[in-house]
Amino acid sequence: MLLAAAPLERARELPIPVLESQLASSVASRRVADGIALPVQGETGLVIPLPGVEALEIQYRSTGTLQITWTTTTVDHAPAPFETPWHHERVPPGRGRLVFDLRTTPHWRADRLPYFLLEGSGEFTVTGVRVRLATGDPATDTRSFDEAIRWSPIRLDHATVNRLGPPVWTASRGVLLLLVLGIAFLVGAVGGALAWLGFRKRWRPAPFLAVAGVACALAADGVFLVRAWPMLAFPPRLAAEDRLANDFALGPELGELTALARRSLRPGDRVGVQAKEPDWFAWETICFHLAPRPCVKVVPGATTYEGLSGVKHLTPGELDAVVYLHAGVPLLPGFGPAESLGPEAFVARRR
Amino acid sequence: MIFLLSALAVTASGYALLRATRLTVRPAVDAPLSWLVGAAWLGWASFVARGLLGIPSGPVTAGAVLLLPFAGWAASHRLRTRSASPETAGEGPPPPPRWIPRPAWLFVPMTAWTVLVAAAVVLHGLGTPIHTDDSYRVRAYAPVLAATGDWSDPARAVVAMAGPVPTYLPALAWTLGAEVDPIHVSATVILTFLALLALLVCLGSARGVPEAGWGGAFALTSMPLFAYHATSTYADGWLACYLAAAFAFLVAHGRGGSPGDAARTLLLLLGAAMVKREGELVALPVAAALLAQVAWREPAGKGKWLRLAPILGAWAALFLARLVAFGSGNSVPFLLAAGQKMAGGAPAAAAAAAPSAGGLGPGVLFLQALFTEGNLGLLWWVFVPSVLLLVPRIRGERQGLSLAALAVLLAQAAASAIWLYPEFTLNHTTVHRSLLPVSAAAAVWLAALLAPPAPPAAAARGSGKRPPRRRGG
Repeated sequence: MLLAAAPLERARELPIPVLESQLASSVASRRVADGIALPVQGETGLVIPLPGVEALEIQYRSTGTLQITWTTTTVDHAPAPFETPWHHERVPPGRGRLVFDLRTTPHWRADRLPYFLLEGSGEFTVTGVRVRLATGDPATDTRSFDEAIRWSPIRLDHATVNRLGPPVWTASRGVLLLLVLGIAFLVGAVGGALAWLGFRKRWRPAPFLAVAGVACALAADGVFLVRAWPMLAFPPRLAAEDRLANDFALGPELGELTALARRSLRPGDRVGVQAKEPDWFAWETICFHLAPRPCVKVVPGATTYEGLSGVKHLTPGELDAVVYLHAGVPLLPGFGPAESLGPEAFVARRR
Repeated sequence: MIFLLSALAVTASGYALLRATRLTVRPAVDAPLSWLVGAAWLGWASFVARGLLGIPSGPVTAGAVLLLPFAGWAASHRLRTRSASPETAGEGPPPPPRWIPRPAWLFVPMTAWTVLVAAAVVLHGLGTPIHTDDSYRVRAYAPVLAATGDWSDPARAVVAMAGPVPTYLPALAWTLGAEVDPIHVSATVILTFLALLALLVCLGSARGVPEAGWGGAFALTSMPLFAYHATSTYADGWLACYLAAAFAFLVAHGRGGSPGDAARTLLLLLGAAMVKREGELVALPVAAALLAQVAWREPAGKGKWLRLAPILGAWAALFLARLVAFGSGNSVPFLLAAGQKMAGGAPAAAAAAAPSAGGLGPGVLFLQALFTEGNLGLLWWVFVPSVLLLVPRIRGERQGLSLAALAVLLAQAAASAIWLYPEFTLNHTTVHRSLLPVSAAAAVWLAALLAPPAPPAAAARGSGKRPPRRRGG
């Protein structure tokens, strides 16, 4: 939490020419006056082949709402950006600064390489990079790693509702926080009750159970508060469209497009959704948030399309509008973009 | 605005039902209890009307459902005036309320944490668009189907999975004309969570033991996954809220043997039975423990059963409506799955139930979920030694049956996680969520056990007196 807000300490500047010579991206980057510009249409991957980095700060300029995911990879393994814990952040349009702690990404080791995945529609220009390298001293780096994991932020993902992930006390030794606090509770409660029995000759375990329980629970609560804080969405927004456009953490562009569709479609419109396959719930997200409008997933070649839980069915001829998001296939014939976030993210109406 | 008015209408309807059945306690307790009871009533009546009687959902049905308790209240008032019976029958004079828990050095941080979590739940819950697959397909979609009156086969299957309360409560505002905004689904879960916290605090204080109420609220808000679920549209948190509220009255009934507490417990259990498909399975063992407690604790006489009979009848009508609307397969899916499993036809693929790559089997993962995963906080670390060390107190306060109910609930969760659906334990998808209801109930039970004793009803009115010491801890 503090790392994200404060300037990166002990970091050194990585000159843009040096970055340009090392950078490897899935699309062609181009040099602009103040940095390196990367076009983003759907997904753009980015590796900075600079081993030993434990944290990075990127200054940027963006022309669209993007999502950035960060992790680490190796030269002989394909990156797995969505592996748990999935670290991601919304990148609003305009200029800004992002700080990435790589130590909390899966399988982090100092010899792994920083990997970034940009998603959305727009152009992302890196105008400055500062990096902090691991010290190379095993004891110092282990301490630094343990501290980073202990306070690592919980980020909203598709499985958060199932499990928040275990809080860790010492990651390098695999010791969980609740084990430490649980043992501390047992020592405090039972030890206190036995001491009371010894001194006062009375067996009264309840107050010791209660006080030790509350103390250890508060310690666990404190760690949870620090870790959960970055995940929280404040303040509440009254309009559904504003919430979708600003606080849809799992896909900012998807949220923005859904908000656009909610605003622009009429209440009785029958809607089809074309989205990339496979994708995490893109069509479900759009259809659900457009309810009660009849809404279905467009499957190329199908004669009838099906909606959420198989409740609604529509034929291609019955559709009034199509919401299109990086589907990778042509837009349904007979439709044309009416309102758009980008060339591959738009709401189309029947021509 | 329509949503706020409909929430008020649900609460008013619940209050009317409490007055009609003479189950009010004190205004501070009645307000949150009215929300829980009103929501249960709305879910029950709307579902029985649709599923059993074939009356379509719509504004007229919803209006009639909300107004019926007022008619019942008026009729009950008229009858009572004639018979001149007391307002809250079957209960002695209540103990003097005490609102400030002691000692302050312990309860100030507990209260601060509880308030902080409640505020975070409200702010985050109302600011986060619904984003989970299960909510899209089932939990938050069922109210949309109810509001639009869809009762097709696929729509019924969705309602069967969601349960009547999570279906009809969020749908009310939309049925009455509000624009469909999915945040209303989250808002109803948040209101239920806040109602539970308020109920625990106010009930404890009204009964002279604010430490039990604040302790329960603190224990609940110290379960991270429970707090998170209060901001999601998943029904596990909802089920946990109803069960925990029922346990607050079950524990009170164990202590005092008040017929009113028994009826309140059963009413809230009926609410729990209407959340998800497993609600009924979760509520049943607790209801059995309650009935055993009624038989054991309350003086003989048919009057004690008469008060519970209408609620048991409502439960039977609910089950009948389920059978008619969904068929037997969708009404008792877990019993069928257990039957299949025992007959040798595993509901889960055998390969999927093999230990995970790390070599940990579902049994070990279940224990980790209880103690070290952190989703439930420190609860079970405190619970287990408390039960072991405070046996005399459990006996003295007649909490054996409520503890037995907790044990059955935990056994159910263990059977589901280890034996029936081990694949969902190995991939960490449902094991933590399935522990929420029993953990919430255990939190309330534990807080009551560790709190100082409640003052007897006939005790001196001076609330500043120290409570008497109890045997065994």
